[in-house]
Formats: sequence, structure tokens, C-alpha cells
Amino acid sequence: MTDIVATAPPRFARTRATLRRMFANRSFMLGAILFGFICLATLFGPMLIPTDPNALSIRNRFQPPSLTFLLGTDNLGRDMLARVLYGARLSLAIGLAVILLNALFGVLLGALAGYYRRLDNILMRIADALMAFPAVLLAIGIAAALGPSAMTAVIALSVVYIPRTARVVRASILVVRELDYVQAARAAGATDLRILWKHILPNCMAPLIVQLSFVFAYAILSEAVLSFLGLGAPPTVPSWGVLISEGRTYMREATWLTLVPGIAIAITVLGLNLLGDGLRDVLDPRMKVEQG
Amino acid sequence: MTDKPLLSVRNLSVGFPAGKGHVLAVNDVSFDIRPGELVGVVGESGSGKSVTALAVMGLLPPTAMLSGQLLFEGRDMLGLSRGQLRQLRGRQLGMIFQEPMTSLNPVFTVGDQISEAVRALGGVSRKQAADRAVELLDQVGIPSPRRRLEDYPHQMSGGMRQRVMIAIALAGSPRLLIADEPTTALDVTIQAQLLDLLNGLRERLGTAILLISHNMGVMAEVADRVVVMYASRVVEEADIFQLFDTPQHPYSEGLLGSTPDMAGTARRLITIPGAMPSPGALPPGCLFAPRCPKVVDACTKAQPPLIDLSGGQKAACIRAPKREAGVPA
Amino acid sequence: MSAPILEVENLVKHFELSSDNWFKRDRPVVRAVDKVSFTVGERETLGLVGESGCGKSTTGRLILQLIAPSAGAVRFMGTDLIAAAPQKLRAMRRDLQIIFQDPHASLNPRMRVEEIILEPLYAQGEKPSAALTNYAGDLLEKVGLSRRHAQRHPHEFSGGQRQRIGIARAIAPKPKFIICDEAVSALDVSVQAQVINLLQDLQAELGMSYLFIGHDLAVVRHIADRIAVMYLGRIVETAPKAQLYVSPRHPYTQALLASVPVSHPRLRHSRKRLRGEMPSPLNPPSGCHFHPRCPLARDRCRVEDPMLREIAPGQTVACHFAEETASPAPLSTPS
Repeated sequence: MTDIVATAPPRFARTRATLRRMFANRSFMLGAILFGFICLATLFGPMLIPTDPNALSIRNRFQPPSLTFLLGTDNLGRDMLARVLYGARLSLAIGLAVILLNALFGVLLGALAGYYRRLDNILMRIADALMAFPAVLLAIGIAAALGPSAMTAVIALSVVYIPRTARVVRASILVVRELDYVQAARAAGATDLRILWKHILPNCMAPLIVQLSFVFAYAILSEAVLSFLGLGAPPTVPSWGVLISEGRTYMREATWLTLVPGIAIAITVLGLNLLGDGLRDVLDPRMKVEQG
Repeated sequence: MTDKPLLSVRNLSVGFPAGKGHVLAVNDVSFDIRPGELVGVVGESGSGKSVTALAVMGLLPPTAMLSGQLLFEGRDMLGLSRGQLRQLRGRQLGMIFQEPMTSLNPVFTVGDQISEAVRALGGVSRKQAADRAVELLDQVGIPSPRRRLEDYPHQMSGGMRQRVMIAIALAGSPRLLIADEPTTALDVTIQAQLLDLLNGLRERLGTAILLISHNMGVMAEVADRVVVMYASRVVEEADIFQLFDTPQHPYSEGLLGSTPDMAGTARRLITIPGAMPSPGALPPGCLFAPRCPKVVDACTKAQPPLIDLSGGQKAACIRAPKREAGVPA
Repeated sequence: MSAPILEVENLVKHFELSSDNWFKRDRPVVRAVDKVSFTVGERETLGLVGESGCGKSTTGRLILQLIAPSAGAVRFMGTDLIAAAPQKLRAMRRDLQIIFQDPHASLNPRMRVEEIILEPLYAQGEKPSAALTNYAGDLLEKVGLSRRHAQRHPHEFSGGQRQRIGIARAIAPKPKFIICDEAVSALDVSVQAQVINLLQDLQAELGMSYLFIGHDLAVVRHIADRIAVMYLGRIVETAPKAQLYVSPRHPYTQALLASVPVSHPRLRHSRKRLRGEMPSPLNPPSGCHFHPRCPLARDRCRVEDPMLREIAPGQTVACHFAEETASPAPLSTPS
């Protein structure tokens, strides 16, 4: 490694370098554009297209996409554009709730398992047991037991994905806790809480952020599955899964009813996955090329 | 020993793209290795010594920009095709690296890996290759070699693995062995064993060795001649005794002074202030001037060339000829 | 020399490895540190040398209670750290600091230099203040850096500079004792010399004791007053520096010294090299751990552990035949 005398500007050099790598990363940029587009559409779409997503119009049933109905209408003549934009709110909200719970409990459980080795065995065996079930099947099981609602979907998906996040956090804590600066803090008499909070967790953030972006994508996908099966959002609130489920009956006559929410899901998941891949490259210090 | 060089490095420069331009990791480096000679290249991190070795081995990444000549028995290796180069590498050049842990493939036995190297040269049966592998292991001082053929790399210690690497490098009976920090990752007792081994190979097989190291002590143990590199350039080239007795470049002097040694009573170490400049921000004139205790105004004006001094010694210091003539500067 | 500031007595660390067989209870045990005893006096530097895997770094971490010893005592300024109550231990840590080998792993990349240096004080409950910020600047100047470096992050510094930051952190709480764990091994020669001199100057100025753990006998010779040599978890010889390097008495010490690269090509000579390599601590040889490689080994060595005994004033050796090992050319007769 080259001994380079410090020449970088004192502040924000690190942040600036990270930003530069982000802009240079194609996967990250494409993902950010796709996902950003979906987010903007979700936030501002309903304002720009003020059509009531639940307004029935028997006359306009099964209208294919046209200039009047950009994405067509469904079996009750409801505007698909309005419905898919409105549905995005629920899908993204559920995804967001899932990753927030993941961040909270994943970090908590991962930190406990990674830092206190006695708890590790117990927590990780429970995680193993939960992860032994296929993710979607487990979610379906939990949702079926709790009864269909948006909250059910959030709980079911959190139970499914928190063990996975906790494992990621635990793995990176196991690496960081052995590093010399953590040992130095212990040798200096720092408390466990201080060591975790100041020294370990800030250095475990990169893999966590990457993991959360993937969980977001899986959550949206799984929520669609749950809603499709009638175990997620109730039919009165059109999430993307509900839309697909409703459109399924008319798949032959009105393909757009399933295609439109399907493509919305595809764009979101693809965007998030690209974003996650890109973030991994941007944030992972092992990928950083150092000349020497 | 004939005087015709086996390998002749002529004005070698290696650049790597960096930002909008490029930086020179190796800048106008020239030296010769004669048959059977052990030439050391010594320098600290960032001096360009390893890049020089990689260039000779033909292992630089494709982004590297090379100029100059690498004459192996008069043929320029930079002009060779891939096939010719592979031929040369198998039969004439052997290589040893610093990390014996990662240079061996963990899923094959040691015997497989040596036989593979032998068979790659062509014209031998499986049986002959195995016999040759035993011979090679014996040559590098591994006890009961036939039994060790079945071992996997992870069953061996670092020192043993490095011996296996040397055995592989010797498969084609090369005339030149290039060893890049071969003992750096090893303990002193193992380092001593391996240096003895390299010395022995040179004496028994007449193999010339290019030894890259940061350690002056290693040079004192085995080198015939030493090339001292600093910030991509050669600053001094000298016979090993000349270098230790009458170093002509202040950097060589500083390097010797800052190396902890076992002679006499422990002294306070002489230090070179500061650090090596980064290749992106080189000072004007002599690259060592900002750290040099004997700097004069002229030093910052122009890069001093490598000047021939008596006894084949060369130094890139404007004060070297005067010093040699005994004129106090 | 005054009373020792640190006394290590029969320190033992056994690591249990996870067994290959799930159903078997007995796990293989590595005796990483095996009844190690030594003392370090005030303002003294003890060099602890040995090859990788000999247990020297583990010993350092056991003293700091970073890993729990299996047995033994570590008395620091009269208090047994192993038996001390957590609050007492925490308070004592102020006087007992460590400098690490790898300057790239020893500084938290998310913190600014000032926070890094003051961390030992914050860990003891002190709160950030203008006075402390000023103190951090003083420390930086003391280790040869500049005040204005305080607001930067570690990645902006070279290896040698980072090591200086690590040293500033270690001296921040004004400790009585610093463990230097291969503190200069990762540095380039010219930078290494700078850091060795810095450590010596700081010791002279602040009156600290060092336990200098290292594998390079030439480096240790330049900084230590007394030296302890470890082999496979045990100390085989201790002696004042002058004595150890001039008349080593344990065959292993002799071999180790003979392996150090010469300081001048004129000193090249065909020496007897040590045969073989250090065995695995998982399955150490019986009796004297060194006997399979020792030129003097006899039957007694295979069965009986040699104890450390004083063979000359201040020099202790763990060899049954230490009387026969006086130089010259002790390693000339491989059996």
C-alpha cells in the first residue's frame, strides 16, 4: 500500500468520495432512476391525476388503454392509472413499514447475537428455524392465522425477513468486533453500549443498507402475493397485489388489468435490486481499489 | 560467470492511468542480471520495486503502459507474442510470490500442482511428472518428499508452502528466478532457512535470482548486487559490499541507518524525516530532496541522472562524484 | 530497579476448539499460553519475542483482560486485574493502554482523529470540552503531527501517521503502562525508525513502562531493557538485553538470534540453521516443547518439562542443559 501523505480536504472528503462512486456506478444510477420514478409517481401522481380510483363508471367498463384512459379501465369502469398510482401508496407503505421494523429488530437482534455470544446460539437457532420455511409460505401461514389486513401483511413479512436481516447484521458485527479499534475501546474501559453504538454499529451500516434495499423489494413482491391470495390488503384498498388478483378473472379479455400492476411491481423490484447491487459496490470497503 | 547479461532491463517505465492522466510507478529503470548472479531490488512501499518485478514477469494488468526494453538473452520480451512469452516463462523464468497461502490451489494436492507445472512443459508421462515432482521437492529441502505429494496445501506450514512454490518455479529448470518478497510473510527462522535454500539453488543449479525485498538485512545475507529504488526511480546501484561500506546516495545511507541491527551496542536509530511522496504529487528535481539531510539548492532544479562511479557503483545524486573524490560538500 | 509495576504469574490460556464430531464432548484444546510469568518494572521496557503462534500477542491481550485467562494472576500496581471488580478494573484501564500492529485496523474509520484520540477519556466518563479539544491538539503535536489534523478522518493519513495517531490515543489518559503489540511491524523501515524513536522519547518524557511484543529481534534490541523469549506458549529464557544478545543460553534463543539477517554482508557465514518448524500448539511435544528441533535434546528432554531457573544474575533459562550451552558455537552438533 502506498504511503500517501494526507492531502484530501479535511471535511466531507469521505462523503464526497462516496457520492462520486455512486454517480459512477451504472447499476446504482439506473436503480435510483427507476425507483425514484416510482416514488415520485406515488407521492405526486394522485395530485396530478385527481381521478377517484374508486369511482365506478359502468359505461366505461373494460376500456383498453387510450388517450382518455391512459392505462384503461377495469370491470367496473374504474380508471387503472388512478388505481395503480393509489395502490402504490399501500404497497410502498407496507414495504416501508417492513424495512423500518427490519432495521429496528434486525439490528437489535443481530447486535445481541453478534456481541453476546451466549445469546447467539439461542437467537440464531430460532432464526434458522424460521428461515427453514420458504419465505412466502411462512408469510402465508402467519397471515392466514392473523386474518387479512394491511397490518397482517406487515407483521407476516417482518417475521419472515427480520431473521435474515439479523443474520446480516450479526455477520458484520462478528467481523467488526474483532477489529483493533474495538479492542482498543474495550481496553480503554468503554462500556458495551458505547462500544456497540460508537464503534461497531456505525461500521456495520453498509451491509445493513444493502440488505434493507433487498428486503424492500422482497416485501413488495411478497405483499403482492399475499394480497393476491386475499391475505393482505382488503379489496377496498387497491394494493398492487389486489389489482392483479382482481384482474386475473379477466386476464384473457383485458390483459392490461394484470399487466399494469405487474409492470409497476417489476419496475419497483428491479429498481430496488439494481439500487442494492449498486450500493453494495459503492459502500463495500473491500471493493475499494487502492493503488500500491 | 560470463559478463554477458542474462536479463537486461533498459529504461523501463511503467505507468498506470489515474484520474485524467497517469502516474509512473516505475520511471526509467535500468539494470542487468548476469547468469548465476543474485541481484536484489530494495525499497520501501511505493518505491516501484514490485511493479518492476511484475513487469519482468509479464504479469502487469492490461491497463499498465510500458516503455523501454526487457532483454532476456538479447531478445526483447516486450515484443514477444503471448505464446512465446508463455514458453519463456515456463522454461527460462520462474517466479515466487510473497503469499504462499494464496498462491497454491487449496483443492489439489501438492503433488498434483507440481506435476501439473512439469507436464505443462510437455513431453512427459504422468509417471515421469510424478518422479520429477519428488525430485523437485527434494531439491527444495522437503523431507520425505514422496509422502508429501499427497498433502494438500492447508496441511503444510507457511514455510513448507513457500518451498512448494519454489519447487513449482523450478519445474522448467529456469535460468532466472524472480522472487518478490518471498520471505516477508514468514518467521525469521523460516526466513533464514529459505534464504539458505535460495543461495543453495544458485550455487548448485547456477540459477540467477532477482530478489525483491524491503529488508536490507535480507540483502546483506544473500545479494551480490543491489539496486535501491525510491519513488519509482533507481537511486543507487552497487555491489553489496560497496553499498554497506560506502553508500553514495543519501537515501541508501538513511535506509541503512534506520534499519535496526544486531551489531555493537544498540544505538539510537537514524531516521529519514517525512514520508515517500505519492506518485501523483512528486516534488521538483531530485525526488528525495524534501527528505534529504544534505540537500542543496541545485537538488530541486533537476532530477540528477544515475552517474557511473568507480567500481561499477552508480548513484543518482549530484553530490556523489564529489563525495567519492573526497571533496567535502 | 524499584518494585515491579506489572507482575504476571503462571498465566494460562487454553482455547477450546469446536470439535469435529458433533456428538463428542471432548474438544481439542490449544494451550496458547502455558504458565507464563514475568515482571515489568517502572520505566522499564520488557521485550516479549517469539515467532508467530508462540502466544506472545495472546499474553498481551490476557494482561489487558481482553480475553479471559484460564488461570493465573495479573497484578498491576498491586491489584490483581483478574479478580478485580468490574468497576475497579474499568478505572484501572486508564493506566494500561495498548498500541496495535495494523495502523489500518486500529482506528475507527467513522471517527475524526480528535474523537479517536480522546476516546480513552470519554470511555472513562469524561465529557467533550474545549479543554479536551485543546489537549488533543497537544497530543498530536507530541507525536509529531499537527493540530489541524484533529478534524480529519483516519483514511486521509499514511500508515506511519496513523500509527502516530494510535500512539496519541494510547498516551491520552497518561497511562503508567503501554502494551506495544507488534507496534512497528507493519511500517516501512524509514517510518519504523521514526516510530521507534518516538516511543523511546515518549517513555523518557512520560516515565511509562512498555511491554514491547515483537518478532523482530533487531527491533526489540533497540527498544527493550530486558527480553523474554517465548516458544509454543512458554517462556524459555529471560535476560537483560546485553546478556541475551551476547550470551543466549537456551538453544532456541541461540537459533533465533542466528536467524536474524546480518547487519553487514561481511558477517555472512554458514551458520547452523534451526531445523524444522514450530509444531502446532494443538499437539505440543512432550517434555521440553523444543526438543524435536533441539541439537542438544536427550531422553530427559522428552519426558521432563524444564523449569525456568536462574543461570546467571538476571538471566533465567528453561533448559535442562543450560550449563552446556554457553557459547561459542552451541548449535554445531545436530544429533
